[in-house]
Amino acid sequence: MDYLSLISIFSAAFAVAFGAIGPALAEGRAVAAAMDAIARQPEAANTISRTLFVGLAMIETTAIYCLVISLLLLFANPLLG
Amino acid sequence: MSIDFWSLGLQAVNVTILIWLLSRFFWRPVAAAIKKRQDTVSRLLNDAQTAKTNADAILAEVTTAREGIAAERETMLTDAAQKAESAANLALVNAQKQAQTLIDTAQLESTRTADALRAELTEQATLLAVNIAQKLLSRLDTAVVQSAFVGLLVEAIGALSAEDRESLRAANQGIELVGTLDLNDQEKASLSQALSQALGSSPALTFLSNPELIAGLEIRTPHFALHNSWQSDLATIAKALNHAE
Amino acid sequence: MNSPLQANVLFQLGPVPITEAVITTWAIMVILILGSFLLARHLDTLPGKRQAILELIVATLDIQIRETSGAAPAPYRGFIGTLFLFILIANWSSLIPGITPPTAQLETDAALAILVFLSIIWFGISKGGVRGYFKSFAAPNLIMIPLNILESVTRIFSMFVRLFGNVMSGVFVIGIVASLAGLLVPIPLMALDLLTGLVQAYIFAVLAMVFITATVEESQPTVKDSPPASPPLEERES
Repeated sequence: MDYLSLISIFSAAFAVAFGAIGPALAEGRAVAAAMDAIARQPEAANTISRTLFVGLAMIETTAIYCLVISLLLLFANPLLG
Repeated sequence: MSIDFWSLGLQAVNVTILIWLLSRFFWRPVAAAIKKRQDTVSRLLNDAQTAKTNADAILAEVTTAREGIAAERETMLTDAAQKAESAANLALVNAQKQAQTLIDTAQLESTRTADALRAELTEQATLLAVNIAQKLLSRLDTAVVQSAFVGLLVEAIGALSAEDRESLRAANQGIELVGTLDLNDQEKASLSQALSQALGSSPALTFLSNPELIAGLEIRTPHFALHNSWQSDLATIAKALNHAE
Repeated sequence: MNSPLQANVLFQLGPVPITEAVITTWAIMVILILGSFLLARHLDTLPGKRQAILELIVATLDIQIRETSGAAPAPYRGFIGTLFLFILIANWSSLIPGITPPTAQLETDAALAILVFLSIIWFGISKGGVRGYFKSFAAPNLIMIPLNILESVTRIFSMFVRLFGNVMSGVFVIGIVASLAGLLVPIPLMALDLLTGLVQAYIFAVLAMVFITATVEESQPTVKDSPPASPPLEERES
């Protein structure tokens, strides 16, 4: 196993690990804000949760990008041929 | 990583077909059913609303009509009550008037009857009293009484007023002296003397006898009479009694 | 271990390789079409239990579309609703043993994203005309044109990658866990996968609706103050 494979595996794990930190914190903030808003305005819970889901999906996209990159590195690495 | 464009195209076509078929067989019919039911419900609601409005209008009409009938009946009742009251009042007044009239008439009648009765009774009592007196006095027809009447006549002649003397003097046919008993000469002489003294002349004297006088002596000429007897006194009393009532 | 990025070609139909995802999609299509055809066959004014469920689905979809776009749901109902139903059933088809969801394959997700991209163009042109559609790139001003063009591609790409990544990662994780621990251990992960599948289907449909609405509203030949893209209050209550 040459060093390119090692670096690819390490980079894949690194990308997923650190790529998940930012979206995790962001999703936590988003959910907290949404809970706050629902507590203030329970009658607007429907709109808030819909917006929350869409927003979470947007935030999650960055983590998914990281996952895709790691998968590319693992399974479709063009450098490894 | 490689994308299989055949698969991509196939999947796109598949999903497009799916979208088209589901739109045709699922979304549109169900949405149409919902729309149809909503339309039906709204139409029914409109119909119900219209019917309710109509019913309300009819109800209001009926209520108004009923109020009109009630008011009319009230008016009629009031009118009838007023009429009945006035008629009753009128009848009452008439009855009172009639009764008053009847009472008045009866009172008048009874008063009149009582008056007539009393007058009759008085007359009868007077008559009875005069008769009693007549009968009593007729038993006192004596010479003593005669002489007393002669004396009274003499006094009366002496007290005659000037007009009476004049009328006596004018009676040239003679003077009738009416008495119940025959006079004796002395009495005749005193009478003629008194007359001649009073008249200043001596007229012809005629002595008549009349038992109706009961007792007494009267001077009668065609124009003048000097009453001096029980009869005239009784007549005067009876007259006075009758007039007293 | 098979790469999740690699399509599994079952057989060749002339020059066309038929993958496993295409076969699964056909099966899902048949189920959906036959089911909807049979269920929505006799619709009455007085609904039975079956029709009430169907109407509940349609009414819920209408409410979601109206709340998201503020427009009448009729033109978008078929597209958005079918997207949601297809993605949902495709995601949940992973519950059947031996079947990989079609949405866990790059090609299916790319096809869906391309369909959304085309539908944005379609609705933009049909509502605002060609001129209005191109004008929507110049919103709010001319400087934004390159950014808007870039965004119209990247947002589609992000939808594609998001759906693919979520579903594929779910399948991948379940495959790994099943290969390690066998019998009962993957069940919580499968439950999570169900939730993820539902949420992803919902998000895909809602995002498609949001993108369409944004383009349609910007392509309208209006008016300085366009009404906000929120529904009237009384419709939100229903």
